[in-house]
Amino acid sequence: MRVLVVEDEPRMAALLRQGLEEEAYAVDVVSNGLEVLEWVQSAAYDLILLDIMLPEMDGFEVCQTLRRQGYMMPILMLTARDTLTDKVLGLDSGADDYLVKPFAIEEVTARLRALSRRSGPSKTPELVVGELRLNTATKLATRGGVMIALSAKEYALLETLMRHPHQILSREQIIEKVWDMDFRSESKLIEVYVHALRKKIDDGHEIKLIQTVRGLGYRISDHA
Amino acid sequence: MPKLAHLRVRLVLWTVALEMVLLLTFAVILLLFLKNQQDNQIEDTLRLSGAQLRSVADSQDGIYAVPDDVIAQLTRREISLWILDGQGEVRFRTGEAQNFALPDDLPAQGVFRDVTLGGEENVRLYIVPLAEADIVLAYSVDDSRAFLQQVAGGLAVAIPIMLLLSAGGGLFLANRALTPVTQITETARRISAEDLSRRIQLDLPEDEIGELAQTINAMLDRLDRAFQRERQLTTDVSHELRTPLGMLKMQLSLARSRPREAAELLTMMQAMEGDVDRMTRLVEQLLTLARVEQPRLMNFALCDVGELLRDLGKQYQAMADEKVVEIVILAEDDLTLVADPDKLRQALANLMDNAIKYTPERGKVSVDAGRQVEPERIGITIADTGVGIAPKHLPHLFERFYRVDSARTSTTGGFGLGLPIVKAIIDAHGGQIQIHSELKVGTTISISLPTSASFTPLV
Repeated sequence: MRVLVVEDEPRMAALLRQGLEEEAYAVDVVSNGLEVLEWVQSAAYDLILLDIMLPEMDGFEVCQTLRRQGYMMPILMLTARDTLTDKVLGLDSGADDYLVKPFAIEEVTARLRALSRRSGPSKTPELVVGELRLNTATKLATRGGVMIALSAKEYALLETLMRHPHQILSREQIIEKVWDMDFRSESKLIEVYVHALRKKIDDGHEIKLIQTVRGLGYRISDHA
Repeated sequence: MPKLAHLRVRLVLWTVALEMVLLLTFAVILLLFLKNQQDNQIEDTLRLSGAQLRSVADSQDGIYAVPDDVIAQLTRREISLWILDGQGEVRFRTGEAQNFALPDDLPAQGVFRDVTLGGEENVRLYIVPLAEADIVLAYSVDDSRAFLQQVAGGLAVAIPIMLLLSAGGGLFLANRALTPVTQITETARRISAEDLSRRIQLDLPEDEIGELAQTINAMLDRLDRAFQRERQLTTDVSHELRTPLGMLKMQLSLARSRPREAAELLTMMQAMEGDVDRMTRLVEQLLTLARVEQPRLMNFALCDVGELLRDLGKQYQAMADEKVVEIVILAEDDLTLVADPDKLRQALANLMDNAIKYTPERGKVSVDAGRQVEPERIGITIADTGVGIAPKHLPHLFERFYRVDSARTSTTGGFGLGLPIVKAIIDAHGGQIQIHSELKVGTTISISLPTSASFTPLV
C-alpha cells in the first residue's frame, strides 16, 4: 500500500513515516499543498494522509482540487482543530475520514485499513486467496491454518498481490505499491522478495499460489 | 423588579408628602390671612361706626337718640348698638340689640371682645364712650366665621384631590423617567459573558439616563475586548500546547507499538523530553507575561541602567564572539531609576539576544543609554546591523504568538511571546518602546523609561 503523507511539520512527518513504514506501508512525505498535486501524478497512491494547516494551500483546498481532478483514493485528514465546522468542511471538501491531533499511530493505521477496506470488496481486515489468508490488521498470514511469519516488505508485496487476486500485476505496478520514491526500480530487489515470499508460502504445497507470468509480471491465484 | 417598583413608589410618596406639607402650610397661611382680613374689616366697621356715632352724639348733647338716617346706615352695615347712660342703664337699642340683653362682660374702652348673645348669635363688641354715656356696638362675626369655615372646608376637599392628582402625575412621570432604566436593566440582563456583543440600543436623549446607557455600552466595549483577548489567548495557548502534545502522543504510541532496542528507545525518549521542555518553556513564558501584567507582583528598587547594560554585555559576549558580532555599549554615568531590576534585565536581555541572533557575521550591535530632558527620562537604544524586519510585520510585533518567520513552525524557534513580554515589562515601568527596522539594514529598538523622579511605582 502506497501512502502520501502531507504534513508541514517535519518532525511530525518523520514520525508518521516511521510509524507507517513499520506497518509495511510505502510512504512518501511532502510538506505543502502544491507539491501534492504534482506527486499524485507520478505515483498511484492508495491513500493520502492530509494535514489541514499547510502553507500556501490548505488541506481543504488540496482535497477539493484532488477530487475535482478525478483522484478517488481515500483521504484521511489530520488537524489540530476539532471544531464542528472544520470536520464538516473537511468531509465536504472530499475527505473520507478525519483525525484530530493528538492521535496514536495505531489509530492512524487502523483508520487507513478501514479506508482501504471501504474501497475494496472485503469488509473484514482479512484477504483470502484459496487456503491462504492474510490479516491486514495483525499482518499475519496463514496457509491451511499454519502461521507464516513475514517481514514488512514481504507483507507489503503479498498484500499488493492479494488485493488483486488472479490478476497479473506488472513489476511497475507492484513497485509503485510496495516501495516509496526513494526506491530505484532497476534493482533486482523485487525478484529477491518474490523468491523469499514463494519460499515461505508455496514451499511444500502442491498448488503454487505465486505465479510468474513471463514478460508481464506476477499474479496470485489458486488456479493453475 | 421589586427594587424598581420601590423606587417608583418612594418617588411618588416623597412627592406627595412634600406637596402635602406645602399645601397644608398654604392652607394655614391662607386661613390666617383671611381671618385677619375679616377681623380687620369687622373692627374697621366698628371703629368707623363708633366715630360716626360719636360725632352724631356730640352734636345732640345729652340726648340718647340717634338720627334715623344714621340708624339706617348702621343697619345696612349690620351693626347693632346699645346706648347706656352714666349709670349703665340701656336707653336705646337698635338692630339685633333689640332681641338680646346687653351682655355682662363688656370690653374695656378701645378693645374688642367676642361674645355670644343669647347663646346663638356671635358678635364682636366695641365701646364708644360719650361724655355721659357709652355706646356698645355689636357686629355679627357669624358670617365671617362661616366664610372661613367654608374656605377651610373647600381646602379640606381640594387638598386631598390635588394630592391624589399629583400622586397620579408623579407615578406617570416616575414611570416615564424610569422606563428607560427598566429597558436598560432588561438589556443588561440578556448580556452575558458569552454574548458581550449586545449593546443597549435605546433612542435615549442626551440626559442622565442616556449617559448611563452610553457609559454601560462603553464598559461593555472594554469588557468585550478583554474577553476576546482572553479567548484568543486561550485558543493560541491551546494550539501551542497541542502541537508538542500531538508529537508526544505520536512518539509514545510509536515507542510501544512494537518491541524496540534500548538505544532506539533512548533516542525517542530524548526527543520526547525536548517536547516536554518546549511545553515547559511556553508555560514559563506565559507565567512571566501574567506576572508582569500584575503590577503588584513587581519588586521596585533603585537600579542603574548603565551597570545593567554593561553586565548584560559581558553575559552576551560569548554568544557574540561565536557569531563574530561586535557589541558596543555606550552608557552615561548615573542612570539610576526606580525599576524591577530582574524584570528590566529580562527585557533588555531578550532584546540583546534577538539583536545578536539576527545579525550576520561581522555585524555590530550598538547599545546606547542616556538621560533625556523634558520630560526627564532614560533613553535606551539597541541597534543592530541585522537582517531587519519587513514593514508588514512591524505593527504586529508586540502581539502575542505573532511570528515573523512562519517557516519556523511550532516545534522549532520561539513562541512569539518574547517581544510581548518585553513590551509588558516596559509598560509596567511606565515606559515606551518603539521598533524601527529596514530589511537588510538592521533594526533599532528605542526604549524610554521614566526616572525615579517622575515615576511613582504602582504598589
